Amino acid sequence: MTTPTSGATPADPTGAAPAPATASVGAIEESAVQAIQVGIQAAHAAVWTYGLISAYDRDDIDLIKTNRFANEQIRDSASDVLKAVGVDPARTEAAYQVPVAVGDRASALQVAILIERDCTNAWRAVVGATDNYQLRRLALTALSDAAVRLTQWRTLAGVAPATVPFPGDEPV
Amino acid sequence: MVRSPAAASARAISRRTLLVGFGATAGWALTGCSIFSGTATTRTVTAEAPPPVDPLVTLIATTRLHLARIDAALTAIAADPAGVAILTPVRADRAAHLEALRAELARTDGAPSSSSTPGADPQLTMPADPTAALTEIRADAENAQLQFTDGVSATGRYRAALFASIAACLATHRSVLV
Repeated sequence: MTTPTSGATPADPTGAAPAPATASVGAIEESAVQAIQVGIQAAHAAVWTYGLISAYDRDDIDLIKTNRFANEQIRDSASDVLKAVGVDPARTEAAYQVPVAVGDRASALQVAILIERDCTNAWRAVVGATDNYQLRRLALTALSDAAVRLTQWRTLAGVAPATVPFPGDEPV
Repeated sequence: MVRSPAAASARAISRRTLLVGFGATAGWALTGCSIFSGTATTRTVTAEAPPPVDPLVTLIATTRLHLARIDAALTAIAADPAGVAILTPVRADRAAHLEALRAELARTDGAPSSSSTPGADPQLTMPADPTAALTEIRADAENAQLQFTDGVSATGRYRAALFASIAACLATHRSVLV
């Protein structure tokens, strides 16, 4: 567990990979709190959905694990930001409804694209909801990472073009 | 002739005394001529700093240059369909960025969007080797990503979100330009 109360907390001892900056970013606006909650919910949904599609897409199991872990990390970092200002981060749901019935690799890839698109939308909204530059940088990192994951899934699914010009600004 | 130690000592003392006295006098003289005691007036002229350049203008210039470099690369590797297939969507994204940035400049400055396109695009040459050309364009994406990331910190919320989105797109370009 990390300690969310100080800007000089030690690295997360449970993190096998280099721990992301989990320190407080200082005071944040109410609009930013709401936007971060949406981001945390998107990350929760992504983590859950990666668990679901791992049963149907064994070809991409390593990428699924990597991307699931990345979403867990940003979820935890964003949760620490909220805890540091005395706000309870959004909790995960028992289950999520996915917009596509997952039954094979093709549908699994389709869902992976949708969940990462949701993540880019959520993290971009955080950037636009705050004047706190530290929070903006954290959200930008989350946005960029989600955009790269989105591109990976679009490439695997054969979607052309693999990139989008404005990640996080896509209609749902 | 042999002088007595006492006489020599007396002479040394008297020379030291003289030197001390001279030093004191010199000190007085120097004080009297101090540059700080003059009556001349010192004038300080402060040049007014030029107005700061809007980072948006710099980001537009970078995007425009990189777009021209992609065009040059597309010309240089025209015989390589795989390289062209990678670069073409990247070019489309950067063109969309340039359009959005110019629209943002026009929105905030009220300036015509053509004001940032003086003259013709520079003549650029890119390597004909597809791998080398893609490496150059990838370096451009990395450079631009840093610039847009810096731009996110100190600007309004709308622009911060726009710059963040473009920076994220550039991160994806780095991942496909391999």
